[in-house]
Amino acid sequence: MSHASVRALASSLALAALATALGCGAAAPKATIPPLRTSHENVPTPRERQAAACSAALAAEQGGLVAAADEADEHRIVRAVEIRDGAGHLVEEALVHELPVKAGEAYDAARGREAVRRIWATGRYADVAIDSRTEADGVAILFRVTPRSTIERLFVVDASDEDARSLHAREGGAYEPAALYSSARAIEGSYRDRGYLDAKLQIGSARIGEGRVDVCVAAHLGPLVVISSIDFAGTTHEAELRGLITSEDGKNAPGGILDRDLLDRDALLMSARLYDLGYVAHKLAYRTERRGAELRVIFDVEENGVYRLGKIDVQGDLGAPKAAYQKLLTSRRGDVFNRTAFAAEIEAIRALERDAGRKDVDVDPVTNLDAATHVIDITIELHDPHKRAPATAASPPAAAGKLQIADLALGHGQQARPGNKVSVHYKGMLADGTVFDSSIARGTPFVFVLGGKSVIPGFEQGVLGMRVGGKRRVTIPPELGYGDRGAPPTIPPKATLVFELELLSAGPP
Amino acid sequence: MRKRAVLLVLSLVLGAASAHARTLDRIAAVAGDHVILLGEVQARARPYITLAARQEKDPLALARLTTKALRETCERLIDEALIDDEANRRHLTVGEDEVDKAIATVATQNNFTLDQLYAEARNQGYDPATYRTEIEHVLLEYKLVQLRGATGDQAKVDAARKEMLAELRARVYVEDRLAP
Repeated sequence: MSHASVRALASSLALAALATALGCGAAAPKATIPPLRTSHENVPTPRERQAAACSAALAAEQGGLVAAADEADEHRIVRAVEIRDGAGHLVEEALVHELPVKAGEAYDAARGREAVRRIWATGRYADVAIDSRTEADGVAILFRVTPRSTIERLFVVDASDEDARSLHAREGGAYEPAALYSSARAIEGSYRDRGYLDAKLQIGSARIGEGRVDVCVAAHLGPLVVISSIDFAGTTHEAELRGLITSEDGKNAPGGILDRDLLDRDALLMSARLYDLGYVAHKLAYRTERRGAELRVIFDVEENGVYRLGKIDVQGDLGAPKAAYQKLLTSRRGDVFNRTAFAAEIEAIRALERDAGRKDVDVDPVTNLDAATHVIDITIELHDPHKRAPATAASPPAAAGKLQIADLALGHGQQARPGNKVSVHYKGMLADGTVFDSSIARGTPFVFVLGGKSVIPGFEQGVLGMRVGGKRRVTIPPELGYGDRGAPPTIPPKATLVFELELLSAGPP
Repeated sequence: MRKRAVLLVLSLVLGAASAHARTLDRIAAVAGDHVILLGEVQARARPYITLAARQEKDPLALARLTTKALRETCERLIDEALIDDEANRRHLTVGEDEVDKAIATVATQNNFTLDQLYAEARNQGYDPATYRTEIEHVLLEYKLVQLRGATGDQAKVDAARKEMLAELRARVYVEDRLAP
């Protein structure tokens, strides 16, 4: 029997669990579990003992695998705890007292491992092992440490002096590979930001004597990758959209390097412009095609027709006669829909509410698009939270700072990615089950751009990765919700929130 | 005189035994800020080694399987450490209820009660805590893979998983001290 099959057999339990827990139990492979054996069969046979001994010998020969603590070491009384270096000298005598392994207590393997981690965390040692020495009435526990090697010579090839200084390595200093790699990765990132998309820093080390190493860091920058062209497909407003591309220091222009952060922002501006031209159902996204050291940027646009205004109505908890609201709506039936203009009208209604002492009233525009006639009907809904039961107690901080996601149903459609415009139905609840908001109750899905930071972080992270048709329950800790202040009077301070989400659509903004 | 010589030999043997230090545990791998100990690798590899021991009768072949199991488990623990870091970065967690549900489903699929499933898991060398940990990491890993747009199609999931793990390993220093 091969090890692969052993592993497959044992892990089939986990795989089946995975598939079923995520709602695809029907497709999950059925776990194959071998027949149960009676207890006496679990006693090692002489052959098994022989195999174990053989395994240990082979392991030792093949790479220093050692026999770890056997069961007998557990619970033996520790008579002494020491940290010694390779030469047998006592070191770190102050640290010994902080270790979780204590003289006079029973030895516990988990505490032993914790002690190793404490010693490792000092950063002074390249290796830490636990040895035990049998004493008359217990064991002495020895933490055997190997000091880090010293860098004898440091060679930095094809990197700038500044980069060399940024490396976590210097001649005469300790060789700390983890820190060195981390600093190298940071330098690679800075090169990529400067257009060297293939930048790589290779690190090598060679032991040249007891406790001494030579280290070599070689930078391979690769070509400077520049933009060959920025093209648009599918739009009748190319010149206008192209004019919205910002070029700072020659970036995001032919001959310059690509700055994705900048281009992402420009794509949002382009999308906003299309909204203002009535292209309410447009799609816009960019992609890149690389050929050698050249990068072509292509904006794919689907305009999907100009939408004109149909019915406009104001409903809900009105604090003034309807005519007062309609007076603020300057858009008229038949006008080309302009999002900026419409947003200004919504803001005017909010100002009216504030001036009337109703500052907590939510003003939510609900749109209904008719793709056949390209008409957009709008209902402006006013919700007065004071007309709903206020939340009472703060929720317990159950989530402990982390978002919890439970998939109730996996969707099969488009997946929600950063930058997508997504449409979701949601029900928002406090931890005690009090519903404080529901798009379902309103009958209108909530639409926002993922990554646009327009919603609380937990909500955004909860939607990320869902597929259209999928349902999730997301538990959001206060840190990722409304924080210490809450959102009175609906959300108490330090509230843990629970959202049930259903992803209805996802696509380019 | 003979008795004295025997006592001397005995005392030498006992003295040697009491001075003998043996290694209980050591660092098996480093993954970024994480340290993985050999004892942890052995505990997690126990189910595989137990099964192999039952089915492989040739001691040498079994020894090789054991070594391979330890090395592969060590690699898996490195992946899990990196997955934990990535999940923390993205505020992703797996709740106890999700693990409970997954385990309950496995039990149902195999016509076991929960007690029977845990008994079988123990028989395979798992302790319940280790079994839960393994399930939790599988679920966490799958959630991260989902974020990369791979769901449903097993080939896509496998490819996305492989790509993700390679990227996570490329970000930090990884040293597998059990590697040949």
